[in-house]
Amino acid sequence: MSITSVTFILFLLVTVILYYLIPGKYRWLVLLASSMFFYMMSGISNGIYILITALSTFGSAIFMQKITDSQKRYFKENKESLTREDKAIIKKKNTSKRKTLLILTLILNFGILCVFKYSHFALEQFNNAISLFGAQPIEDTMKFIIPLGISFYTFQSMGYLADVYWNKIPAEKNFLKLLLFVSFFPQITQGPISSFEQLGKELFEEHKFTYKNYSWGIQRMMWGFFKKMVIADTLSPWVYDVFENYSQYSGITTLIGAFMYSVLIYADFSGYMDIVCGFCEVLGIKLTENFDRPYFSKSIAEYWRRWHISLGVWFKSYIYYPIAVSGWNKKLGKFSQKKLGKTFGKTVPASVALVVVWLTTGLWHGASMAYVAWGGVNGLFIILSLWLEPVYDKCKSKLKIKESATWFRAFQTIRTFILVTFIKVLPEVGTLSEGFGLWKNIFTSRIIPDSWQTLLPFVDNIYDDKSIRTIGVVIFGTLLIFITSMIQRKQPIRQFLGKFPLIVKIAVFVALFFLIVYFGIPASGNAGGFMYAQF
Amino acid sequence: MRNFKRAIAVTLACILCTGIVFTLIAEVYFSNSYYYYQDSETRKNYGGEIDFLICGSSHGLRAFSPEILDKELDCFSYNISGALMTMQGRYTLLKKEIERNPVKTVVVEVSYNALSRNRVKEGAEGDLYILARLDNMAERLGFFFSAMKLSEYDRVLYDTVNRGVQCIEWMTDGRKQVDTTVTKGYNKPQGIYDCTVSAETYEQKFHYTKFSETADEYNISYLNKIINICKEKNVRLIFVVTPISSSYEAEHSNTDIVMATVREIAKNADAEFYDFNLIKGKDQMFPADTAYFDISHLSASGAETFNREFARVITAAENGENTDDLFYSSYVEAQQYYNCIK
Repeated sequence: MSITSVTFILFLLVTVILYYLIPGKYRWLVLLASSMFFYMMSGISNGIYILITALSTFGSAIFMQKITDSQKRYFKENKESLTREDKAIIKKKNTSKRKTLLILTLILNFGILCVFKYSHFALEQFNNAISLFGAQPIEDTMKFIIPLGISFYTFQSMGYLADVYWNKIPAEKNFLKLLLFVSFFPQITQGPISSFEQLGKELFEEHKFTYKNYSWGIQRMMWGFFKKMVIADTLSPWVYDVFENYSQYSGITTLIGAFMYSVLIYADFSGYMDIVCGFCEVLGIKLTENFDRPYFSKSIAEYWRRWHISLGVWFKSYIYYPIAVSGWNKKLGKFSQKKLGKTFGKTVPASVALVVVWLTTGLWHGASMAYVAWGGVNGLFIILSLWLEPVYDKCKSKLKIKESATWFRAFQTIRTFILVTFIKVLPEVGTLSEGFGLWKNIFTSRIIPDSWQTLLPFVDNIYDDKSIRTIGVVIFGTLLIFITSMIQRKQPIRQFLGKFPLIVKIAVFVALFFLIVYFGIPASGNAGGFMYAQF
Repeated sequence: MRNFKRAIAVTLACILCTGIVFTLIAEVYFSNSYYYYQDSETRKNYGGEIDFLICGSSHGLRAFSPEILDKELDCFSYNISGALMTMQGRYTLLKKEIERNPVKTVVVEVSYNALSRNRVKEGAEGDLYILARLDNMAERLGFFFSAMKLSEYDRVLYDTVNRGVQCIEWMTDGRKQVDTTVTKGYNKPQGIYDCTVSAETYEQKFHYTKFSETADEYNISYLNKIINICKEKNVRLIFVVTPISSSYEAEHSNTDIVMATVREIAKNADAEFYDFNLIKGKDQMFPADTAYFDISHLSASGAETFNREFARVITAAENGENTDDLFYSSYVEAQQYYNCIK
């Protein structure tokens, strides 16, 4: 069920009505039924995998909890007789049991994910390797249909399991509640990846209908539909035309294509988030925010703290920190400090963790070397900035540059945006070499566009009235995103809108509605689904 | 409760305002006739006069010229065919015209894909045109809810707004509306296509589909409704296949099987059936280099010949003459004859 279809909107409407008709205590059951319905619409067989994940996570967490509880009980009951050594032995034994459970469940679930997402990639790499020794490559006959949202629900459930393992939260005793947490339909296809601590509370708490939640939610959904259908879906065929034919286009056209991609992916992904967060707001549920005006970041590291926030938090919590504080990495840190000096050596454990995080982030986004390289480049920039921080500080103080100066902040923001754009397009063109080819074309193509048609060859009939209008609405929409982001620095945009009389708000609603109908519906038919759903 | 009431009130206000703007835009489209198919006013004005009706898809639209038929058959004809017209669309318009006119003859164009076309796969386009051919909002809403699927609602919304905006532009530009009183539903093609080229060229140039042998239940059910209404009103019913280029036709070996269903339906309905691809001397009547607008539609000159031939055949049939001799009995037979000549 496409999220921009009439059917989906009706499905949301029915869910909202049922949700508020049912007594508060049981409302989560409506969400569970809707989630199951939504999921099964993508194919009943897909349901098996999400059920395996939910069941294995539930069972594993319950066992872990039982071990912890019985240990606590045992310690309490034998408080007098147990020595510190006895307690340590029991703790070690129990931790080992819990660890085994955790590892087995992780292997099962990440195994399913890897089979679906990375089998072709693994076989390709294997064939590349054996071909070096002259062996015949194995034919790829695997045919998989990736279950809807597998990356998102696997990460979310494994995060929950790790939290139970670390005793951050108690295991959920109601399987249906855990199933809802794993399969909650607004976030199943593209996130946000939430923690049980945060989302569980929101899902199972009783929410009252409030006008503010309702109107703010609808406003946000409309804005999301506008971003997704009018901006992203219009830009999509243009951008991919540039990516496919960049070698025939001028450098400036290719550069325009690259910048359009930055706008496209933001409008697409944040548009989706606005739709689902807005819908949840109508229900009184607060979802984790995934964006915080990322293109206003002043460094790559900051950008990644503000873009796809929930994924970043997941990697930080479950990969970065465990690696950074692991015994072997600490030892490496001490060793590096001895050999490389205190300043540089101190950054080594963090750098090692960052390398792992960024290579896995790359792989998570796509099973290709281009995505691995994309992750690598992101990681490289972040590690380099970590290493060079003292050098930057010295330069700034020598040049008497004030960090707070407007011009300097603007320079940092523009620089980061350009860097981010160049990194983003790398895996999107196809192979890694094609990605580098696009970079090269931007700087080396000698074609000089002599008309609008040659500057923007991806627009059909550029002099046609509707084409001009479409270009106009895309520019207007992009500016609108920029302006709203500026306003959001000071206050939420809907709070700002709230100051206007109702008639103005209705006029904005009607205008957005017709812009979506006139520009968005044909564009969404051309562009297909959401880009992040592929992850 | 106060929260809830306020939410309902504001939602209704938004729906009302959106509805008003939509109605204004839609009304500009529906109440004018900037598109060739917007002939509801003309048909309304001709109400009580039409005694000869033709309905079909684009094949019928490009083939039947009421101007010629009126002269040849001494009748008052009207062509209600439309591009991508579905069987439901044909039935809807036909029923309407039969009810308000003294119709004596109905011609249903039944080309090779008339029964096999799949409404779900083909989409809403044909039915969208019908919406603009109905008389008033009530009729449009009735047809909308019966013909459109939920998943097509956004497409209808877009199409109506888009055409409304286009009409507003044309109005402000001072563009003239289409005078459908002269054409009486016939859409005269501008230009010709040389159909002596190979089938491969067709494939490259045109949307090329194989003739499907599976008749769609949806089409059959509406065709039966057309048959029933004609029987009820005692109207002469004629099924016609309009000519397509011989080389396109020769690409398919299953045409006889495809057309067998239509023949069977016509026979059971006591309707006449004429397949003008089987008319003897077709190649001379419809020269491949001038008679076609594209591979499966007649050009203006092709249509002129066709209308005269059609009039000759149905007049002969009406006079009790045997018309079977004018046609080959099957595509296989026709092909054998042409192969022989070659």
